[in-house]
Amino acid sequence: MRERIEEWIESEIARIERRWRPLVRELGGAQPLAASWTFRRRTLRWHVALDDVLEPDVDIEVLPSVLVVRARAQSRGEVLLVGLLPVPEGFDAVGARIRTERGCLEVVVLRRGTGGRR
Amino acid sequence: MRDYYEVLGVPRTATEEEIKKAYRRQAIRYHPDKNPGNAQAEERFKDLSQAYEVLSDPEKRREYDAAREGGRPWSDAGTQGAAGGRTWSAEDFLSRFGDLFYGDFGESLHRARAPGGPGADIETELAVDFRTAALGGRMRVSVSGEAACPRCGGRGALGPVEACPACGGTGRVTQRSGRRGQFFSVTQPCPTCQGTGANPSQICPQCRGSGTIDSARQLEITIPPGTAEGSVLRLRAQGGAGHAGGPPGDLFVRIRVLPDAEFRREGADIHSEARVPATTAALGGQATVRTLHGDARLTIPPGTSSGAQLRMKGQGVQGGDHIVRVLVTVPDHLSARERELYEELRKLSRG
Repeated sequence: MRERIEEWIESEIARIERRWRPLVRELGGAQPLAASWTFRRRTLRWHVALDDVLEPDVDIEVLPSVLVVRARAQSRGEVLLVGLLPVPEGFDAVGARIRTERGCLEVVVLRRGTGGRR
Repeated sequence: MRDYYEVLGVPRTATEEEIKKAYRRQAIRYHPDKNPGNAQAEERFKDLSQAYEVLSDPEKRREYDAAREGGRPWSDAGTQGAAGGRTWSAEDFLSRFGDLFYGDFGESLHRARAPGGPGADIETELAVDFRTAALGGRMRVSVSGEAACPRCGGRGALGPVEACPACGGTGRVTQRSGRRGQFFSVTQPCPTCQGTGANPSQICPQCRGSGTIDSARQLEITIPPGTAEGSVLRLRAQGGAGHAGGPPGDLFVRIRVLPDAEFRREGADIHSEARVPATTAALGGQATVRTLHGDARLTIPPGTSSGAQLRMKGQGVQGGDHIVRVLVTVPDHLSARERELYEELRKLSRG
């Protein structure tokens, strides 16, 4: 069951990334910001490494199906870094919990209707 | 007189590009969107914008430099008025200097979903029969995606649009968060207008302000000759509808070529098999072979063995060849005369 949900999340992530590809193209010269995700119970947790990020220029824009993280690299000529964090259907992007911890940005989104703690 | 070069932190010999870069770097830091409620940052931002407005305009810069060198007072009505006459806002900034920020913080995402935002690219898969893929043709494809809302015509609002009173029409609100020296800003859709930027009383009830609705449609597309398995056709402007009048996205059609019972393809060459009677194989002759372009006569050289491959030039895809693998057949049932002749043949071959 859990594997099936993760497969579905993976396909959703791929779909949303395709959906937002034009935006990334529009941000000419941007480089990807590495992000990974884990799913546990009803919580999708995104982790974005901010090692090379110029503080405090980290902007996160919350859109209905994706969170877009933008930052500037400290090295590489302050190039624009963009991370797309897809939020699968049924998860609450607007209610995302966002924090930074030890050079890592953590974004937590919950499935709607779970009634769990944030 | 204020030293605009000092404000931007550039030397007097700075090029236009250096001025632009210096301004951009500092304006990002002191942008009102990123410093809500910070009067000091707002003041600094005004100074930066004022300095940039003068130094980025060659004419104004020349006048300013001349006034400085001559020790004369200098003023620019437009600049002074803009800076001193009213409060600067993010909208002012974006409308005046938006080009600087295009593809940078604060603006491009907003453009992506606000009026003028481009539509989504759509990917779909289409199963194409072998012959159409090889020779080309027209096929219908079903496309599911966003289309312009029929109720509001893609504008997302009904009637003349007024700005949302909560966000001033930007459709978003920005909050700055963080702790222990790590800060970030989070921009979210305005809760009052649901991110549309329009006065909530005017939001189109059908599309809820997005300007688009989910729809499915049929489209006839051209399959070019020689289309290979896995190839992707890009149809410009046939993707999702743009947001509130923005340009549509593109449609990407991934082709899956269905196998054919008779033909196989390797690049531009077509492969098939042809059954040839043993007598023709031994003595040589002609055989009728089906090709993609219709029936063709194939010359069988004398002494052709089963498994031999014969090439028909130009009978493949786009100038490729058709390669025929010969399968020599013998009759299932022999007449008395045939049996007699085969027996004689056997004796001869033993001899």
